[in-house]
Amino acid sequence: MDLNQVLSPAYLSSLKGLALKARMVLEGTMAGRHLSPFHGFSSEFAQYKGYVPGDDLKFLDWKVYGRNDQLVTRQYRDETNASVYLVLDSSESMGYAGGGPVTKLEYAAVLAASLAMMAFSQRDAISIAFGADGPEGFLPPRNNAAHLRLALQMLEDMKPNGRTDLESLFGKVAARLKSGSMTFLFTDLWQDPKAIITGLKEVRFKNQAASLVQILAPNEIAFLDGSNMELIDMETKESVRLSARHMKEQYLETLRAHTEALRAECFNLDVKFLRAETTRPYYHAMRDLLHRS
Amino acid sequence: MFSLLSPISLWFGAFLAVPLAIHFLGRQRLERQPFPSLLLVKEGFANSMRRHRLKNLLLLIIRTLLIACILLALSNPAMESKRAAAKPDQSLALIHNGIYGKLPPVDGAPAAFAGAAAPRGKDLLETQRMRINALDSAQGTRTRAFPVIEDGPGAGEVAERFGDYGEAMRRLLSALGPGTALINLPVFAWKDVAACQAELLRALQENSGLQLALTDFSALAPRVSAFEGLHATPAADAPTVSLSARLSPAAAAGGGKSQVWLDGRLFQEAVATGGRVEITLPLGAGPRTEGRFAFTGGFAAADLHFCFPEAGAWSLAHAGNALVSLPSLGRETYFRRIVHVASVGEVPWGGISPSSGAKASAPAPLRLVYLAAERAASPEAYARAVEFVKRGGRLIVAAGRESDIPGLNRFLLQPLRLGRLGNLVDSSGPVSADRAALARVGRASGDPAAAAGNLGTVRKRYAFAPDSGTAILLSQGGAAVLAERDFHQGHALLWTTDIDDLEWTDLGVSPLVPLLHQAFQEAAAGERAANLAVASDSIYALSLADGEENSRPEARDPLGRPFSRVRIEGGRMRLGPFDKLGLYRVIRGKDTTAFAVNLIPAGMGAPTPASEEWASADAAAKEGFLAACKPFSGRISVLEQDDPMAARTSVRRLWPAFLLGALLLLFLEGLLSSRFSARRTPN
Repeated sequence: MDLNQVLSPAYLSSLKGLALKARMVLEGTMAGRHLSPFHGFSSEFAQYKGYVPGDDLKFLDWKVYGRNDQLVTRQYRDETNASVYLVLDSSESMGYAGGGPVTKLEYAAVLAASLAMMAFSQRDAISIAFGADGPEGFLPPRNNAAHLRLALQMLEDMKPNGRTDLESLFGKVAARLKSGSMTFLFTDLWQDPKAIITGLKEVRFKNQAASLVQILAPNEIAFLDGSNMELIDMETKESVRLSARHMKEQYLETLRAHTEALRAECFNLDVKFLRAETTRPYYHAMRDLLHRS
Repeated sequence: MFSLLSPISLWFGAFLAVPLAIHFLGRQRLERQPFPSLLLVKEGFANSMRRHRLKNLLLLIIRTLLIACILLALSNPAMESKRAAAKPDQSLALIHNGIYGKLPPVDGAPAAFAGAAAPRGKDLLETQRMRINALDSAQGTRTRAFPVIEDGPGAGEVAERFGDYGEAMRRLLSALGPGTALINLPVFAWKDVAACQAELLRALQENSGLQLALTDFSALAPRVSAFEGLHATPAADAPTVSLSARLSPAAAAGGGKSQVWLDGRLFQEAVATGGRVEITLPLGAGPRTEGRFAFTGGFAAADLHFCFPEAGAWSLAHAGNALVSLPSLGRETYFRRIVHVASVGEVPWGGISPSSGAKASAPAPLRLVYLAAERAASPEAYARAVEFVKRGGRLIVAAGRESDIPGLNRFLLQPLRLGRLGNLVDSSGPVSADRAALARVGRASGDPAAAAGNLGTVRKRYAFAPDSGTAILLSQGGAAVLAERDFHQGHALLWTTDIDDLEWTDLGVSPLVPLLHQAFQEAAAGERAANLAVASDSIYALSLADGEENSRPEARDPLGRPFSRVRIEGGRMRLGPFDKLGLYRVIRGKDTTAFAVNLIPAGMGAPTPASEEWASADAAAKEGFLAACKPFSGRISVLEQDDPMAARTSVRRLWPAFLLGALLLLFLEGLLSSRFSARRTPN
């Protein structure tokens, strides 16, 4: 079976049910992979600690006691399951398909659902947040099957709405984050980079491992070809008449500069940056995402 | 003053709207599209779009100017220079709306008369009018136009007749008042102008401010055969042939003494007067039924061949020009380069040799062979006849009592896929051709009137079994009378009636004579050369018998209507000029003389002797006229037909300037496009 075909957005968009799509993406993603990227979170050795009464004897290192006659317990970096925060920008602009098989929001939802199922299988807590300028919907981190179904339902029911304000969205979500969690941010980044970075910093200051996924439609990446067009901003409804063919080179140059600026800032903040086009097969995007994570 | 000499090009001015339409339609066809964010689009948008709009506007202006320049260049713009001649007080012009303007199409179908030639004829008339308009525009005058045919069908149409050039010239000159004047004359035949030479010279002498501009259209005008008449009076007992011919200049200069030899013996002597000789040959006197005349004394063609088959049908072959008479029809007609023989074995398949007296030249190829009362011949002779048709020749076969019907069937009719002739059968009663078939033949012959003639009777005819695909003209009883068929590149036609039946009245005179004529004409026109007979604008002279002058023979035009341009003087009946092309008839009691009038179009391959003769005669007329006008040479200019303003030497032509402008604009357009394109390319 050709995963490129089966897991392409065009194919999956014909399927009903986000859970099914997510499962297929996940299976495709994990095919050939032997190590879960989440494996080390709960079992990675951190340090020895002197035994004090009341410590769980199951963590006592008997070998050290045998060699040195000292009672020490092994401590792991994360004793408990991690929380995975999936934050989606659901502004109007995310409802743009622009030459692709699905809208950017739908694409983001499939990626988020796939990550959620993966985290659930690793017994990590899942949290979902979406909105345009603040969390319109928020699901606190839990780890049970009912919660997963709720999360998938929430992702499936999302509708693009509102005007992008990533500074506000990221800030408000950051306030609800627990330390030691992972955050995946799905957005098209159609905002002034300074505001985005401000919001991103707030997430990062919570000591979060964050990944920023920029999702763009084909027409946003390659721009349009018409010679006499009126482009209407989906969020502000502002319009402008132009020759897209004539403006194309300039647009692409501006887009490149915009992306590079964000990529550089993300690098400085130790935030993983990834661009995903809505025509790209999901499992490719997932592999890139997990590999970088 | 700025003027356009070929303003018809401005009809293409609609092309100016093309760039404008593209520009404005493109603007109207606005494509609305939602876009996620204009954040990046708006950056540098203002500068970029301003440059884009400026470029579009500049390109629009340049492209519109480019098309305008090309159109103006095509319109042949002119401007009066400082050397401009004084504006004449009066401007007069002759317009030739006669049939001279009716040129046949260059690659048209059959060189049939009239119709098909109309478009180009109209063009020629239009050209004359446009030249006058251009002249008026250039010199600011209002030219009075005098059509050659006043009662023509309409201002924009070519008449079906020749018109009287001299008469029109007299009308024009009588309208000439005092003061300076410019007269524009279209010249289709210089002999027309030469005929008016005296009047023109008198006008030039009387009015020192008179200028003549002659536009030479003679290269476009149809050439007219100068042969003026070979006709016969077939009387049952003693037929005679009158020959009226012009002698070559050398022969005329040498006294014009001509001799007619019959089978090697001097038969008659004739003395030419005024370069012409007229000979009357009594034929058929005594037991002689066949012989060969030879002429000396400067005839272009020196052979006259005649024969009298038993049935009375006879023919004359004069250097390939055949005069055919069918007694049953009571008419004769004259065709060029047609062989009429009684046996296929006698056909000179190598072509008709030039006369011994004429300059050596290649034999004229045969175009049509008319086999009458075919006798038994060898299969090889028939095979040559079939080969002749295959290669584009036209063959007409008529069977008679001496005909070798089985041989004819086996070696000629069946190979030609015409059919089979059977026994001779009686066919009484009138022959009413199948109307539809007759109409079809009539239409094909270009003579619709042929379909509506009186019908005659056929007494004897051959049973005929046609092959599939043979077109047949049927009698009222359903019997075939005439069969025709295209065979390879040629054409074959078969009369199934008995040619030797003296009481045969054929299918009626009216449909059949034009039909037969047309068949000959179509056949002979295969190579688009002269097939024809009497000169088109010349006078056809017919000798009248004693007493006939008073009875005044009746002349009819090709449509069967009375022809009124007839003068009888000095025992001769003069007909013409002719206003229709086709077969004319002169009914003289029981006898009818028919002759064909046609044109020999110019530019139709190798010139025939007749057109060469015509061309040299016309050139001589031109030379003579210009020599006579030498004292006024400063006031006479001869213009080429494609040089409308050549006479106005004061006019400066501007089309090169416009063409240069167009090239500059084209360069500018390319430069502008590439410059903007280069800017768009990112580093």
